[in-house]
Amino acid sequence: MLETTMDQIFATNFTWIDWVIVIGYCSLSIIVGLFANKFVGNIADFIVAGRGLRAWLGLATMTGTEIGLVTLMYMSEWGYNNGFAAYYSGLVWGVAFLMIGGSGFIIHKLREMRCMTIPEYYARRYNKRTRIIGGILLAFSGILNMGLFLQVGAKFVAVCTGIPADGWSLKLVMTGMLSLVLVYTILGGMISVVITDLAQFVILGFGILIATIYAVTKFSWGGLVEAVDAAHGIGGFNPFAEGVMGPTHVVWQTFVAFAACALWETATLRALASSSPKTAKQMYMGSAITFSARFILPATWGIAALAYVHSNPQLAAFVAGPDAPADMAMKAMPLFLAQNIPTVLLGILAAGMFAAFMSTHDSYLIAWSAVLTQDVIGPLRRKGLTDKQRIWTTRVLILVIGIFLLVFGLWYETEAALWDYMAVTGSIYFAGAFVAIAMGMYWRRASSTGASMALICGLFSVLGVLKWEAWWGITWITPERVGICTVCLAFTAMIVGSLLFPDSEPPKEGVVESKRDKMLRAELEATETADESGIQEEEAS
Amino acid sequence: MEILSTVWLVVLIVELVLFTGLLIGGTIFGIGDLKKLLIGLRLEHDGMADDAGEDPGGEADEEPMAT
Repeated sequence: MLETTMDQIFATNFTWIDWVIVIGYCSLSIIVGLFANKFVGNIADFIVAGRGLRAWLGLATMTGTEIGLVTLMYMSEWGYNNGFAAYYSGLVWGVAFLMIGGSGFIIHKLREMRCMTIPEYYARRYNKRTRIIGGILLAFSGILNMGLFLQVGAKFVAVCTGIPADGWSLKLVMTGMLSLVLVYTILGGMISVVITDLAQFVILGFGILIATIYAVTKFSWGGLVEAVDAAHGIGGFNPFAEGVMGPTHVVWQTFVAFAACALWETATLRALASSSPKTAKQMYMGSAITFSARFILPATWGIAALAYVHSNPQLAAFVAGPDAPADMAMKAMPLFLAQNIPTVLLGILAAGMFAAFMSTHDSYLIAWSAVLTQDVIGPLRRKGLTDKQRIWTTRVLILVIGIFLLVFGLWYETEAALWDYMAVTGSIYFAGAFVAIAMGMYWRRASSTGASMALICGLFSVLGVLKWEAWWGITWITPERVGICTVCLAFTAMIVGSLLFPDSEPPKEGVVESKRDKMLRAELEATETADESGIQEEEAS
Repeated sequence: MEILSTVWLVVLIVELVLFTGLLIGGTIFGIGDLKKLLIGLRLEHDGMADDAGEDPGGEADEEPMAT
């Protein structure tokens, strides 16, 4: 009886025609990836596509990477749980990208220095030890961050296609999808990522537009407002209202937005792969649209899913009842799409979502494996690594990370909202890295010991992933409070460490010159030139 | 609440317009950029970059690669 009810509630419009569309699209991606293999000549081709990305292509691949299936799921979950208040994060991210792109804060210098990964900066500004510590923490944080991608993707596929979530068939489908990504990423590296990302950008972009317009027209704007008002009251419109989000949440998310858009390796990798520092800045300015869209548009789907649940008495009773799954907020969006979008159009939309899944996985896999190769294994080996060894090490690491994702994605269940998990695991890295890089560039006295201490302080963010309330009944320790404290701790560690343990030599590179420094250097050079010409004249006379 | 819902409606409309523009621009110009990238990489691999006087990445690439 219960099974029949569940079948009715989770019914879908997805048919074999939609499967044909999805499989056809995935096969095309593999062919493109295999084609890209012949363009890989050296490690720079493999990791940063030969530093040849121009603005539009960079923008398209950045969009493909950063709008993943996991993004669409957590933002629709946010829209379902927080209503229109969730839109504020899109505005914050958009402004962050505009400001960083306009000013070139951090990214301009990194590209100018021709770094291939962020920890490479540590080696050139500080020392090798800081690079290895930074590399390990970045890879640890990044791999943990993407640990739930597969699980969340599986939830979408299960609800959208109607495959049973607890059987082997779903696990096989997800393993198959991950294997596809692994094959083309291992073979073609960043070049195949760029080619497939462009195709995925087009497919997922149109999919997102179709779904958003459908979501708004299905219920009308007034209908969405009514549903949010009934479910969340004023908290569903005002992010500063206590109860749903609140000021602490807004402060923490604003920091996450600024730190992540300057320093999150997968986004920064695009700036490092760009054809010039100026292109990197243009790419970031354009990405302001992408990064606000990745929050605002899927949040609208979540709001439409909320309205759908409220408009359907059977579904509303199920959601309020004891049989509703704990992750109903996340499953509501795919359920809404699967039961409302007609066949064929649903297939195109699903292909777009699968594209989003693949385009995020490929870039993340290459980013973390490149960091481990370039910044941990390479520097630890006394003789170093040849280009060929680096490419093969990166390929093996991509495979190892892929296997880890399969295992981790199958058994770990988080009780925190998905976005909170992502923000906390990400901050293990960028709470320390933001301090180490920003102060390294703009404070001459920043030392390698201070930077290492700041990076290690980022590990305190792990406390935010623990289930404090469920395990120990502690309610005042929340992910955002842990995050804010970690950043403050990293700043303190950097200042104290640098003042107590200064470096014996001043930094050779990696420091941004102030206008005053530039003027002083220009004056000094002019004086030296005048002195030299004076000496030459004297010698001649 | 009415004011806030109107503000969010304007935000959504602006975002939809900008994203559509990005999608069209990215598709058209992105393909052109991809062609240039692949031609550059092919020239580089064939050892023809110097003869053609063209830099594959669009920027002088004489510095030794950082590792």
